[in-house]
Formats: sequence, C-alpha cells, structure tokens
Amino acid sequence: MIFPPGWILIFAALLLAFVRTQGARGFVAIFASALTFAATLSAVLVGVEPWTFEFLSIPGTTEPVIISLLQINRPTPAFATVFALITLVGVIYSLNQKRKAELPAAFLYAGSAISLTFAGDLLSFFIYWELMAIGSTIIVCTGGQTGSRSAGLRYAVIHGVGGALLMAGLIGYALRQGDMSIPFDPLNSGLVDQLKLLQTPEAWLFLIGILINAAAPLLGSWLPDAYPEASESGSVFLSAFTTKSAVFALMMFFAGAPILIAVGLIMAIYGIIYAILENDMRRLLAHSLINQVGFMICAVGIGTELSLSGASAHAFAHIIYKALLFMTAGSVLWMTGERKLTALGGLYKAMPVTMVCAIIGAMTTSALPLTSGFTTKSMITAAAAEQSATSEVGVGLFVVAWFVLIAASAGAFLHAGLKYPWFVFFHRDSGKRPTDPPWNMQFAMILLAVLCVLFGVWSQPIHSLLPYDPMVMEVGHGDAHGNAAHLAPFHAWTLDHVITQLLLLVSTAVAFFMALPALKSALTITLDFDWFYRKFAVAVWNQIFAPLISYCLAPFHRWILVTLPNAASKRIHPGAREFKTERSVELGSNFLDVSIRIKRDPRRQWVVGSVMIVVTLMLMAFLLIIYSS
Amino acid sequence: MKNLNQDKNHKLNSEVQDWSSPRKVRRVLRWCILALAVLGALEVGLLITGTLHHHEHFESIPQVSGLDTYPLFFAFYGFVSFMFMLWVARQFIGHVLQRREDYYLQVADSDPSAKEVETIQK
Repeated sequence: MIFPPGWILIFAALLLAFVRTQGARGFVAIFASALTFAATLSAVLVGVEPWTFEFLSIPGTTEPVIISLLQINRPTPAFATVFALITLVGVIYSLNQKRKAELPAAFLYAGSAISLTFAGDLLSFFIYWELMAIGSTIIVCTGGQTGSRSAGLRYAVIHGVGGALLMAGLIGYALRQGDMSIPFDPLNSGLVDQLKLLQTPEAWLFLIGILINAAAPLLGSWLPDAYPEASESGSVFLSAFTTKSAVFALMMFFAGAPILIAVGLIMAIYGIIYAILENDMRRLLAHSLINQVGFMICAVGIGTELSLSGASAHAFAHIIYKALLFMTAGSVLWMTGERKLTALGGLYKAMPVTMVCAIIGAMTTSALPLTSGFTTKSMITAAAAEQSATSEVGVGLFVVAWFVLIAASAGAFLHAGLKYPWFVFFHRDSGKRPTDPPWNMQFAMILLAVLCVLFGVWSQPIHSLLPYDPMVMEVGHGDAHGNAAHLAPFHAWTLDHVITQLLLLVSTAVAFFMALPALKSALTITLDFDWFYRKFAVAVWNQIFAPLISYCLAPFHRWILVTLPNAASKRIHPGAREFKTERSVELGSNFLDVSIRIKRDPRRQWVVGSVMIVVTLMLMAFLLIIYSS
Repeated sequence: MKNLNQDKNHKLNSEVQDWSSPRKVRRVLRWCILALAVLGALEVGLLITGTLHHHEHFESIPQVSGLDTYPLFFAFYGFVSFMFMLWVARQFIGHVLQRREDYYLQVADSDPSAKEVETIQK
C-alpha cells in the first residue's frame, strides 16, 4: 500500500458527486468501498511502507514538520478494518437512498476516518478530523427529516468549536515541544506522557476538543440531537465514525489519563438514564451509543494493555452492533414513517427479519454470551478489576469503575436490549402492517447480525487486530514496591463469567417486566445541555445583549446602515442606486436586523455569524494563553 | 414508504397478539423468574459441588473483598441497579428535565423569523 486506504473513498466521493444515475452510483459506491476494505485489510495484515515528507517548519524552530500519512499505529488495525467494513455494509444498506449528496458526504466522512487511523503526525490528523466534520455535517443536513437542517447547523457549530479547540491545543503543543509526530504505541509515547498529565493549557484544549467528538456529558448533547435527524442510512454512517475516531484519538493521546475513567463512567450512566426517558427510537439508540462509548473511554483511562485492547475490541464490536441497531430502526422508519415508540408496536409478525436482527443487535449490546459484546465488554471490566489489584494509586477509582460498569451492563440490557425491541416490535399492536424492507437493507442487516454472533463464538479475528495480544497480556503498571507488571492471558469464556453474566441479565429482565408500566414512553423530550444554546443563550442574546448593543450603537446607526454603504457604493460605481433611507431607518431599530436586508434568512445568518465570533474568541483566548505562559 | 395502511382485512390482523395486556406481561415475567430461579439454583449447585469457583476481583481490598463471590450477587446487583436507575430517571431527572415534545418548536412559533426559515426549508 502506497497511500492511506481511506483516500480511495475520498476520491470516490469526488466521482460520486458527478454520477447522476442511481445504478451507476451504486456500482461506483460498492466497487470503491469493497476496494477500500480490501486495501485496508492488506495494509493492516501485510504492513505498509511509511510515507513521510517534510512540510514547512514549526515557528521558532528550523526543524521541518514531518508529515507521516501512512503509519500503522497500535489501534489502527482494529479501527481501520471495522471502519472499512461498515462503510461497505452501509453502502449496501443505502442503495435505495435517493439523496444525491448523502453518499459522497458519507464517503468523505468514512475515508477521512480511515485515513485518520493511519496518521502519524498531528497536522494530517487534524485535517482528517475536520474533513470528517464536513462530511458528517452534510449527512445530517441532508437527512430529509423535519429538523435536519437546523440540527445540522447546530452540529456544525459544535464541531466547529471542537475543531478550533483541537487546533489550538495542537499548535500549542507543537510550539512547546517543537514536534508534531505521533508515536505509534500509546503506552510508550512521549506525546501521551506529556498530554495525559493535563498540566498545560494545550493539553486541556486538546482533550476538550476530542471529548466534544466523543459526546462526553455537557459537550455531547449534539449526538442525540443530530443523529436521529439524519436519513435512515445516514444515521448508520454517523453511528460508526465520529465517536469511535474520538476514542481512537483518546487512545493515541491520553491513554492512562485518570480523568477519562470518571468521564467514561458518567457517560455510561448518563446514556442509560436518558434512554429510559426517551420516546424516539433513534434518539434512544443515540443515548445507548453514548452509554457504550463510556465503556471505551473508561478503558482508555485505565490505560493498561488489557484495557486498551478491550477498548479497541469493544469499539470493533460496537460499531457493528450499533450500525445493525440503527439499520433496524432505519428499516422501521423507512417502512412505517414512524420513529416514536408511542406510535409503534406489534411489528414482530409484519417485519420478522428486522425483528430478529434487532434482537440480535440488542442482545449483543447487552453482552449476552454467544455474542461479540460478551467477549469485548468483559475485557474492560476485567481490566478495571485487575488494575484495582495491582495498582498502588487510585485503587478506589478502579473498584468504583468495576461496580459502575457492571451496573451499566445491566442498564444497557434495559434500554437497548429490552426497551427498544419490546416497544417497537411487541408491546401493543399499533395496527401498522408494513413488510420487511427491500432486499439490500435486509441483506446488510443479516450480514451484521451474523457477524455479531460469529465474533461472539469465534473471537480470534478480533483478537488478531487488537493493539496488544490478549493471550499474552501484560497486566498492571507495576507498583511502588518494585513488583513489575505480570503476564496473564485473558479468557472471557469461563463458566464463572457466563453464569454471572446470565444472572445479571435475567435479573434485569425480571425487573424490566415488573416495572413495565413505569417504562412506558410519553410524548415528551428530555432537556440536555443543548438547552443552554437553543433556549438560554438565545434568550440572553435577545433580551440583554441585542438591545444593549443596539442602544450603544444607536448614535452611529444611520451612519453605519446608510451613509457608509452609500459612500462606498458611490466610490465604486458612481451611478449606483442609493439604499432606501426609509427602509434602512425602519430596520435600524435593531442593528442586527440589517441581516434581513442582506439575506432573507436571519437565523442562518445568525448561526454563521455566531460561529465566526466563537471561533475568533477561541483563537484570541489561545493567543492570550500562549503569550502569557 | 409503503404499507402504512391499517387495513382492517389484513391477513396478519388475526395473528398479531397484543403483548401489552397485563396477562401477557405476567406470563413473560413468570418465564423470566423461572429462568432466574434455574440459573440461581445452577450457580448454587455448582458452587456446592465445587465445579464453579467465583473469581474474586478485589482480594486485596478489605471493604469489598469477597462481595462478588457471594451466590446470586450478580442477580441481586443487576436488579438493584436497574431499580435505582429507573428511580433516578423517573423521579428525579424526568420530573426536572422532561418537557412536551414541541418544547423547542414553541420558541419557533413565537419567533416570526423562524416561520420564514420553515417556509424556506419546505
């Protein structure tokens, strides 16, 4: 392989943008995604020749920046392979999709995500990161749901801010260290050693920038806001890349940072609580996604070979079963036009294939034995327990982590394993009589369902892609008494583990059916952090800042709105027509209303303007921090 | 989109059962309790016969040492965790943070510019 496999998808995205007929689009899409999958497998199994070149230099140094576009990082095999796999299956699922912009955007998104895992320097990492944001924003905006456009704009704002923070952190690190390379092994990385201590402003900026993409609490309400607004196939692509790329990034830059254990545990519980209250099936799955990403982030925070392998394995399995669940939800939406649990139910006879696939996906989420989730999730809980036994520092944190992760496993069974299939396919008869979706959608779902079970009973393929071999695993960091970390193989399939996991799940099922009346959904939404920018910030702006600014600028109002533009236009075109004074004065009661004259969509104007303001403020803050430190 | 019809003569009408009736739910619950009892008995039986040894995770931590090796610990813990999360969701988060589903749209109704945006989007 001489270039990152993801580039095939990026080039195909450019090609797809010009292909008009649906048949040709499908052919190009399948061919390109299959080629990418083959190229990715070849790269991770056979290996690659590193591709590096010099590019400019870091200010203040004479050293050039080494751009490394083709480097197999420790977690790359697992992440790149599953990214390529899910792109191929996602393309099959989306063959009926008539929206022309979605597939090119999905290819840009997927190609950037795959390429990101091969990045060996911070600059190319950042470029791929931003390309992903562009692709995913287009997918949300073109979702065709009632709120797609506005959700997409909010998504773009949040990710714009995240990107600005990440860039600020990246530049700060490069200036301080004079180096932009990414070491391939996170457990032997000077970059990780520098960043995980969180002692510098750039480390915090870096971390927050990544956590925004990981949908960590307070920063993550964009996920249940945006993903359900994508199309049936769009949400499949969205579920796979953004959060898992963030997990990959956390692994490469912050492996072993204790704060991530707390963040992961909060995510694991937060996702469950919100999913319990949710009435929209795709928002429920979005909250479930946050819950599962919490497991991975906690594992990254534990920072041992076992936990990093557990995070990679769980990301691999999670991408497959979450895509499967989003596919089943998409199929129900495609065939019934409904996404609210209160409007669904009783579909088990009408959509049997979708129902079976949904149950398999739900059981895999719940880590039922014989599914891939069982082997991967248990690596993370085992890592927490092992660390509590071997670590001298923060033992209590690892014990708490273990107990919370076990509780979160029960919670995952509750909302994704029981609530989703029960209220969509069973419960009361909604009277809807659709059929299963078209053959390609069924084929994609069946394929992923088979993989969920296959990797549950035969985990060797996943194990061979992990950063560290779980059969020769180094456990613990060693301790203060000079006891070195020891080698111990990991086995998920023990009688003890199978029985305890079954007891946990069946007792949760008992509790579910006992408490069923309390779990019934209602026509409600649950407020999240997005309330601050959807309601509170708007109210503060409209009630306080806008009148204040208008009042302050009132003396200059006529000059800004009328005199200055007229003078400028006359200078450029002496015969130009003057602005209508009456109109300007009428609009001039609030200087912000000038946007109405420029464009007939004031809200869009406001959003773009606010992004620019936020980004400018961020950059100013960054410069202040850099110059003061 | 197709098959949205709620056909009174659809062939599946006689086959689809209403699983929301209390009788049906009780029946499912009984099966779950039976499965739990069988698994619990299996665990205790295997422990008594020495076939099963629970791996103790927190041997070196006196406060929680041996907790995870008690018979039926995971069943008890799963049940309690579920009930606690449900209680927090319903009684605390739900009361404070749940709103009508048109909560954010209400703002749009009162904002004339939002109607303009909606028209453009349509």
